[in-house]
Amino acid sequence: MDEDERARLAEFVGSRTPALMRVAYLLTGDRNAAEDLFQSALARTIPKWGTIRHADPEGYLRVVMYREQISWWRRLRRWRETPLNPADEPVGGDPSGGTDVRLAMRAALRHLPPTQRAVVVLRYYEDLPEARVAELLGCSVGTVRSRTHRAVKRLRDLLPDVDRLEVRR
Amino acid sequence: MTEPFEHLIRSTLTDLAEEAPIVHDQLSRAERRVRNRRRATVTVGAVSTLAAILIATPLALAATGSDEPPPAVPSPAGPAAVPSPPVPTPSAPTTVPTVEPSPGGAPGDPSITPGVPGQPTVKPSPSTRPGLPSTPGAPGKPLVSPTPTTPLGPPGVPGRPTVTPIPSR
Repeated sequence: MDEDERARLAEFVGSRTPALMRVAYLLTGDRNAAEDLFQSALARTIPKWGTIRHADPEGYLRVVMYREQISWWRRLRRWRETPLNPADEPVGGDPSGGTDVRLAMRAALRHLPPTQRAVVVLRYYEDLPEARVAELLGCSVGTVRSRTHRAVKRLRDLLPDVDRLEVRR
Repeated sequence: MTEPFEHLIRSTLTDLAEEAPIVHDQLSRAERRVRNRRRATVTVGAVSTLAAILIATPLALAATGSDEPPPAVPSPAGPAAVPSPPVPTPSAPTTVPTVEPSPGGAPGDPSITPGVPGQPTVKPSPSTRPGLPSTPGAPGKPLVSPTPTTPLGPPGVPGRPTVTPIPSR
């Protein structure tokens, strides 16, 4: 890689790192794991930079991150429970406008497996349609639907006061 | 009921994304990771190739040697004799022309025909090498039958002496 291409790569990384780190943090739910995921995806992207720099390098990097997160090898390497912060623990009733429910939802999101978490992030944070999610993750649309359904069902099960939430809304 | 719940998921993910860590200098770390990965790939490839050669070479040699016939069983009588290679013998000396001149025969017996001189009865012996399997269907070379230069005399009559004149000086 010559100096010109390396300068473009450095510019791309510097400008897109915050947005990509947000996605990585949502996918992993952990700061260190997010940084590791982003570095790993970037390391896979750098050798391909000569061919993808004119196309869509950010899309390529995002796809690498999504697939790296749900890959079997990565799950095998990080087979551990994500520690919860004290603020993520489920709390009791709070009359201050649903803060308790949000904290409970945050804790519930950390308990989702990587595949379901990736589908939730792509569907509800990136606002991508099911077909696009299936294309990015390399699976079928039916798989995306089933994973979304299971993820939402598990979140409902993990939330303590979802009925109260519906009343408030 | 799903609509508010999905809205809760979206808002929680948005809140979480704002808490993503801010990282710097990701490019140099990713490049270091690329170099380490490339070095590891080259090392693993070299070790794999060496292992494959070490495993496959004896197997290939054994497979190549199995095409030959098995070695001869040594005789239990004594030490194994060193097999001497058969000396190819020309077929000409082995053909001994057997000339059977009929000695005179019984006078007055016209039924007995004298042997025809000049046509010796040749008994060709097959030139097969002992110890080696003979190739079936390979006929031996036609043996050369020597013809006597001097015609033999009539049966019962001794041949004329050949007088070689010696020039006197």
